[in-house]
Amino acid sequence: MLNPMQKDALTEIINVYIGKAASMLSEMVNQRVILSVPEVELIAFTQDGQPSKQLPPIFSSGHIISSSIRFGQTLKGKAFLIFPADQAKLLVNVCLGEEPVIQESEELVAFIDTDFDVLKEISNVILNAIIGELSNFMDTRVHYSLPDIELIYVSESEGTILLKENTYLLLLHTTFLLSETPVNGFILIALSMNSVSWLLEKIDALLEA
Amino acid sequence: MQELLILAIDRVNLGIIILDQDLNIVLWNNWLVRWTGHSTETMLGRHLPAVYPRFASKIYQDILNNALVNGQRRFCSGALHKTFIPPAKEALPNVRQNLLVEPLYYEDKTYLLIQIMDMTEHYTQVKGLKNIIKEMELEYEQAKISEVIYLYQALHDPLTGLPNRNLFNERVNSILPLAKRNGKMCAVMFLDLDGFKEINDKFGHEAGDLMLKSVAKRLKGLLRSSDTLARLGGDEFLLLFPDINSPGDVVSIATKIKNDFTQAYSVLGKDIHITASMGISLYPEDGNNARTLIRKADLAMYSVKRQGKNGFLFWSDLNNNSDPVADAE
Repeated sequence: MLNPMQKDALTEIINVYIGKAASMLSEMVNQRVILSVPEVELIAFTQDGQPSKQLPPIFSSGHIISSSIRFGQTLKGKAFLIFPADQAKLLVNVCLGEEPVIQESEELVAFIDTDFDVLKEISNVILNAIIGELSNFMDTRVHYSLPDIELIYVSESEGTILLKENTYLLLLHTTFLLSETPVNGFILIALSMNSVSWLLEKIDALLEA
Repeated sequence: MQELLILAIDRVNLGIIILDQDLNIVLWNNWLVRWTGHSTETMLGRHLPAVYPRFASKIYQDILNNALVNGQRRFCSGALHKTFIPPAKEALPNVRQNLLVEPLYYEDKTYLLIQIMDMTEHYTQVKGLKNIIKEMELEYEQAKISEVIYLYQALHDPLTGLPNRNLFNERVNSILPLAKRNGKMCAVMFLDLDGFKEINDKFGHEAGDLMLKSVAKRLKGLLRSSDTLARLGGDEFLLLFPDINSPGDVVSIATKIKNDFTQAYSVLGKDIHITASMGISLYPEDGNNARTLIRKADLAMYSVKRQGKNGFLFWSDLNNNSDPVADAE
């Protein structure tokens, strides 16, 4: 989907955006925050809703917390910040300055609505930064929605998040480091076919220049 | 219609501020008038960061700016930010507010819509709930610990910390089926100290208790980890030897125990000599349950006492024609 040059360029661009999000988050929670995206992948969804390549283990069965922001106008899509439930709780605890305890089993991960508020805000900061910088890169303006938080159970059989056909997914493998506590999550940006071709054109133009 | 909308905005249960591009207030609803004590007339036209310096800090400047310039909508949680617009009554503790910032586009101009939701009561409830959960977890932990202590106490002798009769019975009854399956022998030994009453009378109960503790410690040192040593009470001990190959194995350990008693016990600065009488029963030949095996070992021990103490005998050595245990049952 992406040639090595495009992949490198996109990874580099994304890391600049995510660095800005990390510094905002760091100011907010008053802790050292490091965010990095070591790898970017572009995945296409075929007509039957199946991905063109194997999705990472975060899509294995279990509870996940997904926060998503829709954005629109010429650059159109939906951005998701996704954590396994235990990692989301860990992130909330660290942000609130509570003990960073990993829950022993998934059944014990108990969220209260104020935890969702914290996750909503964190995802708002990170996704806004990425969409914002992406739109700057594309030289366009976008409209943003507020984040929608969902606790989703991914079943064994399902295994993947179903997306409409002709959707492309930018998958950003993301690592968070909050005051030495590592938290694993993913950022997904679902883009329409038009938006993807336009993004690739922009990247190619950047590479040629 | 315009008046109706203003009326509605003044009735909603949240603070609504509209700012122009220079962050000057163009709308300050009635909720905020009640909350802050500042009337709409005094607030209109004023620069928000000048009235509330929190909005002058970099984080909030960035948030307002991103909404104005980049059109971003932003949610801020009371959990992380606590308070944005403080209440008139300073007595109100732990105020928590959620805040929403978004751009409004009207007649070629960009405005900022700020919504403030008071979450104080909600957070107080959550805090209370968290405390209740913590207390319940603590109580549960304590109950679990008490249960472990209670169970330990129910199955152990408080003086020596050794298993008591109940735990010994349990061990015997759990080990016999294993021995049966593996075709192995087991032995039960009843051990009673000789002349312990005299020691108690001569040196006092404190010395007697210390003596029992020392006996327990030294006996334990002679056993394999798979063997069980229990105290029945007084100067009576029970020993279980699982997984033995022949009566000869038990003779070895009984001899080792007898020899160990030739060494004096040092109690409260005095060297005290004591001996023990031991009776032994074997599984499977002498019985197939704890009660029978203990009873037969006890009878063998009494036989040793009658024959002059300081030694050991097997139940099978007693030349009994009748089985008193079986008869009694």
